[in-house]
Amino acid sequence: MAATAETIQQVKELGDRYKYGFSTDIESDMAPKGLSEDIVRFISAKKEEPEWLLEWRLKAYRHWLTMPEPEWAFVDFPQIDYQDAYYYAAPKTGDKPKSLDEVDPKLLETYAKLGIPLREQEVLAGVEGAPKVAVDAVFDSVSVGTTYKKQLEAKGIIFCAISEAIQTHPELVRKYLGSVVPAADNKHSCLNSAVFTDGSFVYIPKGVRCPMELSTYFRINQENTGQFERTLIIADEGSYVSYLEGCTAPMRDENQLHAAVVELIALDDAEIKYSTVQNWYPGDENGKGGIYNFVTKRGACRGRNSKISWTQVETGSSITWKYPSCILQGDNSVGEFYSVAITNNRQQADTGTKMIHIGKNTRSTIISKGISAGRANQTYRGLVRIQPGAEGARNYTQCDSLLIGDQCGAHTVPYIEAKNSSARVEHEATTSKISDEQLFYCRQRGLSDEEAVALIVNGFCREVMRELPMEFAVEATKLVGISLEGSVG
Amino acid sequence: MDSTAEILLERFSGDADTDRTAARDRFRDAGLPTPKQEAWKFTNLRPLAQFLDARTEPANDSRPAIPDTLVDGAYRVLIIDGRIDGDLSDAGIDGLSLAQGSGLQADTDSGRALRDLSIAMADDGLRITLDANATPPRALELVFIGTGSRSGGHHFTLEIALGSNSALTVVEHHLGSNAYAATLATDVRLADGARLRHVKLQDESTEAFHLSDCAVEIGRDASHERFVLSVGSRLARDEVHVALNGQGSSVRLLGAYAGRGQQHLDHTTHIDHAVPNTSSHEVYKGVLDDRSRGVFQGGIRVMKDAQKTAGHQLNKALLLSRQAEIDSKPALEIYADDVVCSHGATAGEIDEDALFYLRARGIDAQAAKSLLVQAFLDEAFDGIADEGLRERLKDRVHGALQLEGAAHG
Amino acid sequence: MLKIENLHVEVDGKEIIRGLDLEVPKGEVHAIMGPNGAGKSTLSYTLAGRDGYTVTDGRVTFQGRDLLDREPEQRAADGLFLGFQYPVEIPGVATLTFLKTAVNAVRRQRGEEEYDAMQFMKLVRGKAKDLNISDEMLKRPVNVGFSGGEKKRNEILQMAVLDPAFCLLDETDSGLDIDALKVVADGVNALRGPERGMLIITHYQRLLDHIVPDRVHILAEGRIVESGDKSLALELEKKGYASFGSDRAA
Repeated sequence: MAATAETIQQVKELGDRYKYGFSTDIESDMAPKGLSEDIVRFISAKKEEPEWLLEWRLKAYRHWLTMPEPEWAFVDFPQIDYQDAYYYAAPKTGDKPKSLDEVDPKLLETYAKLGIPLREQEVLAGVEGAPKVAVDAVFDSVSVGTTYKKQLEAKGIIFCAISEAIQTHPELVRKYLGSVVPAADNKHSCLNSAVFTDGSFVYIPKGVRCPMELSTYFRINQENTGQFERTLIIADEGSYVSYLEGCTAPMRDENQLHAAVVELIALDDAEIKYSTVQNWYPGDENGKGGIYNFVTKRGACRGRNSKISWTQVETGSSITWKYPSCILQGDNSVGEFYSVAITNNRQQADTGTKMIHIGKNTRSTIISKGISAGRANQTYRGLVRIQPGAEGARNYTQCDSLLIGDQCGAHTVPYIEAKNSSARVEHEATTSKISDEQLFYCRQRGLSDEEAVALIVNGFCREVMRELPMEFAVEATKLVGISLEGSVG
Repeated sequence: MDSTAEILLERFSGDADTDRTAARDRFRDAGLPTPKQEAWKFTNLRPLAQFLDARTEPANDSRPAIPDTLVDGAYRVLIIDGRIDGDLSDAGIDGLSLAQGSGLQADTDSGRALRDLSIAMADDGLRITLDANATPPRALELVFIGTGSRSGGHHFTLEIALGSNSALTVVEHHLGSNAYAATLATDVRLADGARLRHVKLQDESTEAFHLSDCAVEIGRDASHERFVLSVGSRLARDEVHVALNGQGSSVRLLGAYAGRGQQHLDHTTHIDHAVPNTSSHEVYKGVLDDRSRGVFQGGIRVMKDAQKTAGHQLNKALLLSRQAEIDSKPALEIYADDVVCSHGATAGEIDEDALFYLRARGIDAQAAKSLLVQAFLDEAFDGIADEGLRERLKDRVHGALQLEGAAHG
Repeated sequence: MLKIENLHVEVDGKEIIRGLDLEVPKGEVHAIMGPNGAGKSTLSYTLAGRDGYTVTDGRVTFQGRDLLDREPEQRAADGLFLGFQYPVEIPGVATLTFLKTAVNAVRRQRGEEEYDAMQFMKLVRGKAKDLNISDEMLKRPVNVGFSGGEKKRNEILQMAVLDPAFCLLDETDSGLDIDALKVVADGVNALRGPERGMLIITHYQRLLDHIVPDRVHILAEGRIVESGDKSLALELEKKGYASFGSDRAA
């Protein structure tokens, strides 16, 4: 079935706007409420971490106390009470499950309901003929299971929870953790460094092309719980990996904080493709509840001819603050950022990227498509910096914004700093509304207002959508229609 | 309050003018802007402070040479080191009146410290008013000459108020020698249907600082065209804030800049579309050689309910040397949906293919380069209606960049 | 089938259609000819239900039912197809996707089973071939970068696939060379049938050499000033619009 037709059907079928809004009734092991050195020690102890990591966390925590909240983004929310949240919540499972068969059935059921297969041989999102996907499922603060581990191990690929990697591959973790996003980078990354609980770890050895998509699925379940996952992906020389990340959370009236850090490292000739479909609970139409998605994602193209490509479809969260970036150190390295961000109702998003060109002949492409509806406000914020040594660097940036309705806002704030004359930087941005001509044309062919908007918006986003792996593209296309429901007429 | 602000304000103890007091208080609170402030991220005023210090010894004390007019037959007012030179006898002709003095208010909560500084420290000011329906056949040319002979810099305020359906051309020519700091705060108010062409040549001494802040309010069906050419100064900032307050109003901002040596040339513009059916069009072209640095910050804001807005903005920079730098920040802030807005920014060197093509046709490398640079800049000059003025300005920029084919140095 | 009585339409407060009467029975092809500014496009947009075309008086019935209170997509589902004079570009949406979405939207509104991918492809392939439309063209975004001829062929393809009860063709011949005109005319003629009505709006007679109408009406200053058989078109070609009560002759 064509993706757009499916979108429309999906919109029709959905009685409820946010279908992932259910919560799982499961007993949890929680840290006491609030944040202190003791909580940091508690988390580290729970994870049975080595001393160096505890010290690293504590240093980050102490620094965090001194840092001001970032205030430059176009987002508006009441001050966060960091003491009014839990920093650790894990489903009580007694002993750690040794295999997927031992995982609590309630958890398996939750993921099944979300369309995430925790049984091997199944595929994501019910798309027939889709390639295999290995999944690491993170539930509140812990990873509950990783699939296809054996098959991946045979190729020397490490794909596991980061808490596990700390135990099993401490040398890799110690070498790379915080090497792309230093703990003190910003207030949110600093908090993450102090209290991160789990997340995924990936290492692709030299010359290995990862035979399947790797995927992490993040789920916030507990009330008043922050999620602070940490993802670290290392692609050794000449390797390739495609990594997918999905997120959902129950509908709750209070705001929940999600402050993740993702670090990518690509060595010589390596390529990392990182795709996100972010669908955290966005809050209701009056702006009540929803996730604060304050995420620091950064990739370092350390090696020659390396490539890092970020693709994101951001439809959820009440506030998104996120700038997946590339540091192009290696000569001839390539950075890409493809983004679709949809804000509706009272959602706010301030998102974009940074491309830092350091190496010679480095290239970057930025394609950003923003759609703002309802009373939402959205900002593209981006930096392209050409350092003096980046001979022959190239950047092309295109930012298009679409407005639906006269109560929303769309803003574009690019920074372009060129310090090398042999570099070429091009930036284009447009803002407009859906044209009446297009809407009428579609309606004359039988489409309703909402169907027409979903179709036109999907067309508007196509350059980004086609960068997504197939199984994600289908889900993302559906999300476009769902996210804009109620925005017309 | 920082020490610079303190030193500056010593000059004004005992001044009873309330507007100036307000500006002074606000400047005292804000101090000189620093790169920590978003609006000053790319331009650091630290070296300016000593030139504002009234205790610094003057460098020179001779009467400057007066240049030819840029527009043939223009009315002319001379402003030497921030003071009007001679009388304003031309006033009263063709509905135009000129009055000495400053009436600029520091009543907006703009956070524009430089504007407050100019108003607080103004040595003199000029008010230009034009009657409704008046269309003087001659342009008004303001010649600002800096000699470096006054300590503490020179500071001036300018008011331009056009009555409904009137039309005027105002030309500013800034030039000078030696080191000094010149600040200028300008208010422009265009009544319904008024048209103002404003051309500014910033050709200050390359040891000087030039800091100008211009606020423009445009009424219903009124239009404003502004062209700025920046070739002078060691550090210059040309800041324009436009408010399209009347339906059917429009603004065109054009700019060209040529940086050499260690010049720092900053162009900062902000356009507010406050009501429906307004349009803005902005083109800035810059050529940067040696170790010069260009800054372009362009903001377009479309307010809620300002439907049917068209806003377009373009900044292109050509880097002629490896050490030159351009920083661009073209921002859109949009709160209405029925709009067509865009911006573009490019940075790069001369197109090698084009250069080769010209050389293959027998044009030597230097001439080919000159030709391409001139062609690159031309787009910004196209908006200057007066042909004589346009050619004089083109000659000036070609001379500044030492391009071949320039008729005058 | 389509009955228009005393229709008055305003655009931006200006009356463009001023008391138009017209009836097209099923099985017949009628042509409306008129000079620029006569109200031809206003008539077609009004019938299709575009915003901004305000009916101030009169009524229109389609298949015995009031047309004017229906939404544009409902009129499409009722079987009213408008071939646009200027087909609209929709970037990023493949022609095939668009077609399938439209067909199934119409079928759903009619309470019919939606086509699956196989059925749909079979339906489209055959009709596309007749109109000389390649698979490559079907993959391109709707009308984006299409030539004038391609756009018009795409309109006729959509018409063939949607299988409407009534076809309203607004200046379908504009911008076509003679070969493209023939392809388009063949496509239209293939859809003629005893159950289907057609109203062809055109400025020039030449389209009517290829699609021969049962009746010809002349529209001037917002109303029908003359009706007759196909010979009226030839007469018009000879005498010009001036002799038919219009002061804005072409």
